[in-house]
Amino acid sequence: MNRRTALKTLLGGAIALSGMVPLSVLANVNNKLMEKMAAIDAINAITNGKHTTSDDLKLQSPKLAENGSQVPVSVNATALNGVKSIFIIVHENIKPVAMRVDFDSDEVLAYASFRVKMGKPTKVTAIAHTSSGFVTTSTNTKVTKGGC
Amino acid sequence: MAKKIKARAKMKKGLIEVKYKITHAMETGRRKDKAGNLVAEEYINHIKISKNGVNMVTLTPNSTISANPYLFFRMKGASGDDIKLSWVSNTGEKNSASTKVK
Repeated sequence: MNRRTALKTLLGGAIALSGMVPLSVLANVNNKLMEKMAAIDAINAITNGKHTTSDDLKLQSPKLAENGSQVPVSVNATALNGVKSIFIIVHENIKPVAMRVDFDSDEVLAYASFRVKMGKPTKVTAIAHTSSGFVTTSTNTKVTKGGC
Repeated sequence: MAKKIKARAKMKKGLIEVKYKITHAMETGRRKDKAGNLVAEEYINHIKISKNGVNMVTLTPNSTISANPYLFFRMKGASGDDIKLSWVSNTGEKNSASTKVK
């Protein structure tokens, strides 16, 4: 599927969802980030080029993953204050932004865990959007069998 | 293919632990079937989790999330709360499931 048809299907989906306006608007904003791009561009697009690193943001990803189609990744940002959202970026993937998590309520702990596909050994970056700016942390994962 | 949502919400150490497993192939559009044709891209691109009707978390997965997405969250609340998850895919397909906190 190329970009054009992808956009068309997305538009079709948006129309089908016209009853849920805020949802489709959000999908459109996110759409650009979820496209094919360089990981560095994605990080800059999210953070506007301004971000700090911190040990309070914990990213867990295996050093060696046997199966690239299911690599468990978890981000723990509970030590940071006012976390609005978390992004996971897998650098070597064609679409680097794997997941965006928006915390709509303070009642949810700033923790996210899921499984990601990785094509080859890659750097993984987590970005947390906090009330005082963007915080990032990175780790490397070796993949023996790609799954992308 | 049936697209089921397996949900479990339990009180643990004063917090609700929510676990979800969604049955979905999460096709990237790059995989080929046995005949050598590309399988069309089809993945969940929007997930919402709410508690008692109030939105808690919004997720925007990309196609690089593994097949059968597994999610885990912790949130404040009490047993008996109603946790609901709903997802939408890039093809416009949707599904939802609600569960009571034990």
